[in-house]
Amino acid sequence: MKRTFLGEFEEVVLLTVAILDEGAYGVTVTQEIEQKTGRAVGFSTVHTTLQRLEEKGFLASHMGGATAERGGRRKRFFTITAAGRKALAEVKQTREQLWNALPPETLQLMV
Amino acid sequence: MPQAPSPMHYTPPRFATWLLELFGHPDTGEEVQGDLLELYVYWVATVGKRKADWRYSWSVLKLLRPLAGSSKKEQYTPPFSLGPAMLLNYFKIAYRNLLNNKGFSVINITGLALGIACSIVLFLFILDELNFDAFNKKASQTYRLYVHSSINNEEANNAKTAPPAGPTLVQMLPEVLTQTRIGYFGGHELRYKDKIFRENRIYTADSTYFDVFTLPFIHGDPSIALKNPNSIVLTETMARKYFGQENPTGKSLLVDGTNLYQITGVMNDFPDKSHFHCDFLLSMSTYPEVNQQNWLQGNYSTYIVLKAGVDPTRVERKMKQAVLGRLGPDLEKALGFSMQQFLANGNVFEYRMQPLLSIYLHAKRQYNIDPNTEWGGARIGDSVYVYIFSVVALFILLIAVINFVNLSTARSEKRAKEVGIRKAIGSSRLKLMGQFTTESILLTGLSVLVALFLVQLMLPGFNQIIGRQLTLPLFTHAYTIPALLAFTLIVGLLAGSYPAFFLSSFRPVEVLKSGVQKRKSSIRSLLVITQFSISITLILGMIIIRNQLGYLQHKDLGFNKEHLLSINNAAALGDKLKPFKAELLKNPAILSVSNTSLLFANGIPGSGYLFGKRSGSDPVLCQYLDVDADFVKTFAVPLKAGRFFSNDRLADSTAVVINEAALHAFNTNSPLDHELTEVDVNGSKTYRIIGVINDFNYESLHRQVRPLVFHLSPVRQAASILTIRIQPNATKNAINYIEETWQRFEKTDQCHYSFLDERLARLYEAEQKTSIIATVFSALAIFIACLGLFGLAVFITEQRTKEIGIRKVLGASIAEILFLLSRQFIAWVAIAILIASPIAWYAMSQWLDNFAYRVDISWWVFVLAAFLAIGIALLTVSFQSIKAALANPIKSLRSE
Repeated sequence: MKRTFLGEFEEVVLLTVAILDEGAYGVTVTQEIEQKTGRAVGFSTVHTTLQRLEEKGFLASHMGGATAERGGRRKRFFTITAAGRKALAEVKQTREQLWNALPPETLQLMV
Repeated sequence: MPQAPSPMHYTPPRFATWLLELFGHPDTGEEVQGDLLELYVYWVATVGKRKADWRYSWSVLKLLRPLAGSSKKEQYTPPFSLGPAMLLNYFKIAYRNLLNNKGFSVINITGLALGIACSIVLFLFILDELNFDAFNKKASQTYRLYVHSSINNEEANNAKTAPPAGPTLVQMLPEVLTQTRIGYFGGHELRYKDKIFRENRIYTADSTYFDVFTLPFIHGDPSIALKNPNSIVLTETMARKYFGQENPTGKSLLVDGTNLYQITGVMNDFPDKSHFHCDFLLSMSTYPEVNQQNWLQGNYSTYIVLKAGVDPTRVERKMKQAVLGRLGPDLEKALGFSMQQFLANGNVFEYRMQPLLSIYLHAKRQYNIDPNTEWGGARIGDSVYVYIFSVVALFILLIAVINFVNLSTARSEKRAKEVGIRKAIGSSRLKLMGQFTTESILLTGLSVLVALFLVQLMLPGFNQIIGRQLTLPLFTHAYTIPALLAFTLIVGLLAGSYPAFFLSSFRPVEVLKSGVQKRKSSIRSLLVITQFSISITLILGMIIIRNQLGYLQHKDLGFNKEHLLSINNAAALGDKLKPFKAELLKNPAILSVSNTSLLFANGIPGSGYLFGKRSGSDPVLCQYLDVDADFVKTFAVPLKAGRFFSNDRLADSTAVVINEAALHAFNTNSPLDHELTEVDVNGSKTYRIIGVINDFNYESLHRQVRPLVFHLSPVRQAASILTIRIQPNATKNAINYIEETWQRFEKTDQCHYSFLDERLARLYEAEQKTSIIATVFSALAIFIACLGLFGLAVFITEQRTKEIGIRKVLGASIAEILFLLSRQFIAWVAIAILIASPIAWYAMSQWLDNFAYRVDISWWVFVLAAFLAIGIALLTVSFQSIKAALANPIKSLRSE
């Protein structure tokens, strides 16, 4: 199976969606990343990444019901798919393997 | 609950929002716009309006995907609008609609079917007219020569050419493949064993005839059939007439009891669509005198075939030169002065070419060839009638289509709910248009089927009127069914597109909530006005045609045409003509008898005449009649000056009488005792003018009276006619006596007599036919228009039922309500009259210009047409409006 490459920002977005669980859509994801990571991200970047992740099959989306605010427009909610979870797990595992492979003296320097 | 000033009150930059709406990715438009709006509120709250605006715009800019199209499939795929399920639904709805509104359906289908049937019939006729002579294999390379002359500014075209013309061209011009000449042989008695008939359709032709014209042989070989002298070829019908089932080749026919002609072939009967028809073809080589070089005579029709790919205009130019060289000397000899001088005086005498395919339809109009210069065997059509009938066919179709459009839009209210629901469920406008168009195509298809049936009913009658054998080649012709399908599609689209456009434009919310707003449909008025303009134009045309025909019938022709009987085959009597005449005069019921050459027909011969001494003056073209001394007495034509021929003056054989038109043409006041010279290469003959006769119409009234010269001479036999004036009250007695006397004198031939006024009427056969066809089709057109009007009336009164009820309750009288309901229709028709009158006036003036003697289009014609149209419209509408006006208002008001 061809392994899908997950970019750094993609990983962040994917994780955020997983964190937000049911309430993940463009606005919440953007705000969450801003608050959790403290870095200012553009909405457009988040939006395109969400789109790309959906295309890759890591996310699934569905339109919510009509809303009272935002001009009555519906929200597109994202949920993480099994493939997304697996990809996150793989990334985490790779990282851990790498961390584990670090010589203890270097590890001490870093911490 | 008190509300804090909310950032919701700020709106993001409008321009950016607009950009996003327009150029954002269509698939994610909704949520992106929503998300951004939400974020904007958040940004305004957290970083202030200015920064929020900035971030908003920046995000929008980065999100623009101006080239993106919607690539994602929606979750629910709507059925393909032409898929089987949807089509089935369209059909079902169409079918239910048909059944639900039986009245409208019947009106719609009848109107359309009638319109389509009429246009199919007319189209078949037009197609038939356009395909004349096309059966010849080399039709497109074949040309007929004709002589164009302009002498003293008197233009003439003559389809009869000099005998050496054809052979000379083949010799001199390499572009000319072959030629053939056809000459009329006259009426003769043919005999085989005990079978004797007098035949009138015998022609002589060159041996190359069958190289030019394609006519398969049943027996014999076409390439040599007409080679030897005294050979004759006959048609299948004639072969059967003389020989039964036997093969006649090798046998001989005895002509006039003296000459034996050997039958060398039997050809198929001439196709119906040939401009030339005959029964017998005689070999030209029987008459070697044809080959003498006389360029002024004009007895033969010459057809030439050009090599493929040759430019005919170049050949024509070369031909003019070639002919001029040959013709010049003859002309000089006859006129007595040189060709150069003749041409320098502005005169023209030249040979030209006319395509074979244009002979039938265009000989008369474009080539201006007088039917008089064709032989009796040529059929002449008229391109104008093709145009007229095309226009009528289109008009009728248009009226029918308009009916459809009007009724469909008028009924829109009933379909509005359907449209609303379909749209609410998710149908797009395009799909609705598709549905309505499908429906109209379906209805058209149904109408076409009915129309095909109607065509079969109409064709026999139509054929009888026009004298054709038109059939609808439904299965025998490969193109018919595809053409009909295409026709159905086009008419269906034409009729269905506006209703589809109109109906699909309804907004579901409005329609479902309150129904269609009643609006004045200006398009509908326009269409009804168009319909009635067309109908009124047709009515006007019909009245004017009838008017003109009546005028032709009753016009004073300059002689007394009542109680005249003519025997057309008097030539059969031969030498016994004189005693026969004497015998007839013995009966007191017969007042006088005159023997003349061809009269009141096409083909009265003419010749060039020089007035006075030969002084180099240009010749005047005059027609001539051979008559006997009793002419004036029989026809009762008054003399203007001098005297008529007399039996007891011998010198009268070199005397002539001219008519007034000739007098004007000679430009003189005192013609008596002047000399008149008939121009001829073989020695011109000079006559003395002894009298002038009043102008009388000896040809159809399409022409002015032309210069005419009377000769007293033994009547040329082929066309001699006996005209008999009988006692007004003794018709039966006279006819019996004539027939009885004829039988004593002539055994083989029947006596063919007719009343002169009947013969005169036959001069206008084409016009009579047009009149009948015009009457029938305008009646149909008006009927179709009335169907539509009736439908509209039903609909409109239905719509106003409540209004009428209330008006009646409030005290309106029946007359007032009738006026209320009819007012609109009368207005429509009135406007239509204003539009139609000038159009009809113009068109009919053009038609009347065909006649030298014509009626003026007077104002009462328009008044009559107006009354007719308004009358018909009112009659159509009144049925409904009277019903509505008489109805009890309780009925209409109770239902609320």
